[in-house]
Amino acid sequence: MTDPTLPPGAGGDSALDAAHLDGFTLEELGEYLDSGRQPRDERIESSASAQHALAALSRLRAVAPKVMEAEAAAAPLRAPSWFKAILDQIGVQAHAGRDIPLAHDDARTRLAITEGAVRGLVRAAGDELDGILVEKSRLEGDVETPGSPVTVRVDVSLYTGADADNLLPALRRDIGRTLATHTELNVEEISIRVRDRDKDPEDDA
Amino acid sequence: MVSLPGHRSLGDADDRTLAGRASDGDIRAFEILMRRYEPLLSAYAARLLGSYSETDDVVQEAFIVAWQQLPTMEDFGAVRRWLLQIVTRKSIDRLRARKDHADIDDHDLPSHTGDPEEAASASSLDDALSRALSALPEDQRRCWLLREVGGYGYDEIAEQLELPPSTVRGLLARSRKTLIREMEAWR
Repeated sequence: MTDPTLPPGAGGDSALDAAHLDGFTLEELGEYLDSGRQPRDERIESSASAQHALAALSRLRAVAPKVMEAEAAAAPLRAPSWFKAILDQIGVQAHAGRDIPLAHDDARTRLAITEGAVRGLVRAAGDELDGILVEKSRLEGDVETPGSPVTVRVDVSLYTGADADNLLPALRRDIGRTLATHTELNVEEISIRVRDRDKDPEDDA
Repeated sequence: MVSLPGHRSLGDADDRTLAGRASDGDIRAFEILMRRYEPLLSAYAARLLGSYSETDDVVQEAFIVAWQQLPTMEDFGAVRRWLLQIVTRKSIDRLRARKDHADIDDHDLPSHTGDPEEAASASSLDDALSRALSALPEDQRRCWLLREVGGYGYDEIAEQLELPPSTVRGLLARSRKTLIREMEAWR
């Protein structure tokens, strides 16, 4: 059977020509591959022709991402202004969260720091320390009411060789300090959870 | 300690860490993710749209949606596929809008004939397949891209492209047949 979508002369001798499929259809074999060759189909697995076609389909699958990566690599680099335009737009709608009040001498003036800004302070405290990375943090408690007790929960990763016994107390101390300096939160507890130990920077990216 | 606190470790950080940080509100982490994936997302969008002119807008919109949706993301390690799927949806929105304004004929990607001799003259297998991909009929190309690059299943492709699943099956098989032929011609 000729395929009308193919240009003339492209007939060739392909592993996927119907004549070589041992009675299977290309749809069938493609779907079998797409389902991870599960459940195992003995008829397909024992047919040399079908195996040949599956091998060709697998090769195509393996190069597919590389084709896209190659096209991406060949495209001209975007100007920094392109990224900046997006970042500007995103900055406006940053994940600000709740407003945390700050006292002011003038009772008519209302000052506040956002929850998002406080999370930024917690990340920055971690960034000042080598070997540890603050991934996420959250504030538990009624942060909108001055003086209410607040628990700071922090998820961190430790890099390989990091000295957890020193780093974790140092991070707790530094978070406490920065929050005391920049906020009026009544921090009752700073709870640090290590999500990932022995994180290897070489494995990243 | 590094001179720019945290900068080194963050620039080298894996996707899961960056997505986690971005969901925590770290715009710098999001910027690193954007720079990491923008080339791939743009190439993919251009292929789906068959045009460069709308690619900028689609990828830009996708990043803004990604930022908004990050706090609800479940698997930070799957950020690549997640971004590709946002770009897929944004691209398909464009294609639908284009269908509603059928007078816009916007196809500025170079087209190739898909001639095996041309494939044989390609400088690499990637290049040969790029050309073959250009030569595919649009519906076949989109099915193939959604499956092999976007990671969609058959039913999801059918849903996205508003086609019956049986049609998707047929289109995928035909696209694979042509692309494998080109691979074989190149060897």
